[in-house]
Amino acid sequence: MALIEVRNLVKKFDDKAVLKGINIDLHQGNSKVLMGTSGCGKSTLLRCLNLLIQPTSGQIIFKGEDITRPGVDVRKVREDIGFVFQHFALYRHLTVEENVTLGLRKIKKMKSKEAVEKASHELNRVGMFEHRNKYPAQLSGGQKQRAAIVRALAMDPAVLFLDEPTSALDPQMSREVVTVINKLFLDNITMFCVTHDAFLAKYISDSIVFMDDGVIVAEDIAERLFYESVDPRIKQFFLSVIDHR
Amino acid sequence: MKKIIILFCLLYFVSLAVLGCGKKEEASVIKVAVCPTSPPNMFEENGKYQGIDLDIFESFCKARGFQYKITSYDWQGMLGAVIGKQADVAFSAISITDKRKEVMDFSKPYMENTWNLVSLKGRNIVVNDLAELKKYSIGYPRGMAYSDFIKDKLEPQGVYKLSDVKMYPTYNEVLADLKNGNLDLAFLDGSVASVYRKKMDIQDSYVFTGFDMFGFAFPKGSPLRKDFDRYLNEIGPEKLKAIVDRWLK
Amino acid sequence: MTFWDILIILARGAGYTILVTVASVSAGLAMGLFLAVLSTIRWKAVSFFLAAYNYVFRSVPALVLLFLVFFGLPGLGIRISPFVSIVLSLGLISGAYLAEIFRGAMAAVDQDEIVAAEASGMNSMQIFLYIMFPQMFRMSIPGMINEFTSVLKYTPFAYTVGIPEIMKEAMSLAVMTLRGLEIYLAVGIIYFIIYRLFVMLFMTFEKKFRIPGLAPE
Repeated sequence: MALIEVRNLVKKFDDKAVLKGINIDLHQGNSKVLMGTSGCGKSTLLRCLNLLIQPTSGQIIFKGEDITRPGVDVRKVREDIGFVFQHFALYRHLTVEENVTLGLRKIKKMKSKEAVEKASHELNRVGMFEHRNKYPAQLSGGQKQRAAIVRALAMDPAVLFLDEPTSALDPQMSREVVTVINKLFLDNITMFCVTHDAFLAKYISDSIVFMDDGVIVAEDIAERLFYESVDPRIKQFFLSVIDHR
Repeated sequence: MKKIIILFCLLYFVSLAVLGCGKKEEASVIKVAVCPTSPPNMFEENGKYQGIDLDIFESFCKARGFQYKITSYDWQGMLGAVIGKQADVAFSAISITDKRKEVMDFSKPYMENTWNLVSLKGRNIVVNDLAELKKYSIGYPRGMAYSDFIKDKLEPQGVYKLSDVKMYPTYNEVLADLKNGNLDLAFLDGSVASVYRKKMDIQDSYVFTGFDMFGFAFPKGSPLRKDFDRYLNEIGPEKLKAIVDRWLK
Repeated sequence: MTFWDILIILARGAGYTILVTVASVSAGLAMGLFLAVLSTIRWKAVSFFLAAYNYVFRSVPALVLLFLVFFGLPGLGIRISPFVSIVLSLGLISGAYLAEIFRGAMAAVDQDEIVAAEASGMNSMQIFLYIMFPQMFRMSIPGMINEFTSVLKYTPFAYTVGIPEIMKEAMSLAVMTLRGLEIYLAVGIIYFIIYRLFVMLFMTFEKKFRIPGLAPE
């Protein structure tokens, strides 16, 4: 059984359908990347999966439970899904360490000492331990995103969602972050990532899902999708996005 | 949830209001309102309230075994407090007037008062005929009974218009303007004039006598007033005059 | 009586001045927070109430409101003590201004951070307590200091309802000594001292809470 199963997911904003019937699975230990043109619905799909956006119809089955049925404990679901944002969204009034421990203390109800230990351990893994007492305003973009990833991972979620994690970073910092996420990929962290960064996609995906105009057009491994696609939409997209060197 | 915050703040405010309303003080503590800016009837010196009116009231409380608590207000606040029943009694050289009788009850008169128009000695202003008043500027503290007198008696006779009067917060400001020449005549109670004559070179330019009396002011329908009047009868006019004269030396 | 003696006598009223100011400002803070949080609810009735509240309490002169509460309400059978009257009046008025300050501060909080907190599984109360409020409070500090100063300058009205603050001492003294100029000069000096002391207090308070990257509005 898959960790996440999506059945016929539809999302309409007023009368405009942004998601027109999505079917997709994500198994434990697997990592999928959603790509597609702007407006194809990839971010919307991601945010439906943790119910930040309310789907119009369809089913989402998370860990065997239908989370689209009424009466579901939305917060418990979200506790189990880590989310990394394009613009980092670190709490700017808290230090890096406090950003990481806030969820641990207030949501997972850990004691302060435990929380700090866990935070230190996780920050170390991405090389952010030395910055733990700095505030977000004192960090570079790459450092901020690494901190944000730690904040999400420290909660030990079943799956990690990433929404354009490198799109707000310059190439150098982008590589910094790709390295970190790649390590997670190699550690078999279950991930769902939305991006238009093909470089990132190649290094963190078991398969790439291509979306266009609210539907999934194709799913395949990176190499085949980038270079061997027959579908003109896919060819057109990757022609403009891949750095052909 | 936000609702909890809203509820909390609302509770704070409501408890504030309720706290203000529901203060139950002992019934035997009389709430006194004064305006300590009318020497020698009511004033403050060296941190203590003193004056003719206080002496009379204190002896009343001693005789009856009452406790009292003084709160000072500005002049109109003091009258407002007794009208609105926030105070049980008010005194500070309050003249008994018909207008005031409409909204408060007065005790029997306890002291005669004159209304003195004073001026700086150096200017030597003497008013022999009321018709001369038009030539001068007149001023006094806001809320005094002189206003009704001017409106009801002097204005119809064409002697002086209320709108020409200069109003001030207290006697201090009146006398300051008198001193620097911005005011010609200051309207003072006779007892007040006797105090300031010792501090400033002022003289009486005209004195209205024979119709003004001071009274203790009570809220309308106050039972305390009846008791107080009884007390005034008990001590009799000579004793009363003795207390007054002690201050007017 | 020297100028120093005058200062000492007037300082007796300073305690009441400070008490009234602090109480009124805290009432204003509670009211302002209440209104700011209320403004996030999108019901028509609530919006109407907020608009009406703003309209009334920004246009009514403080003294008029005070008189209404202290001298007017007894006519309807509601008697409110002098202290609560002034605190309520000044609190309602400064609440209107503080609400604006808080609303601006709330809007300045990054919406992304709120979404991130939601996505991590926090409920509304937690989001408000740990994310919204700490940021909003820091950004409101200059506005709050400003409002404190305004309220301080309205406290002389407290005398009209019988609270023996500085003005009462000044008037009683002036009537006896006729030294108005010195007395009111001393009053000004005392107000200045109170103002400076509180600003210094707030500044040290603010410094403790300052965070790089979180500038006040």
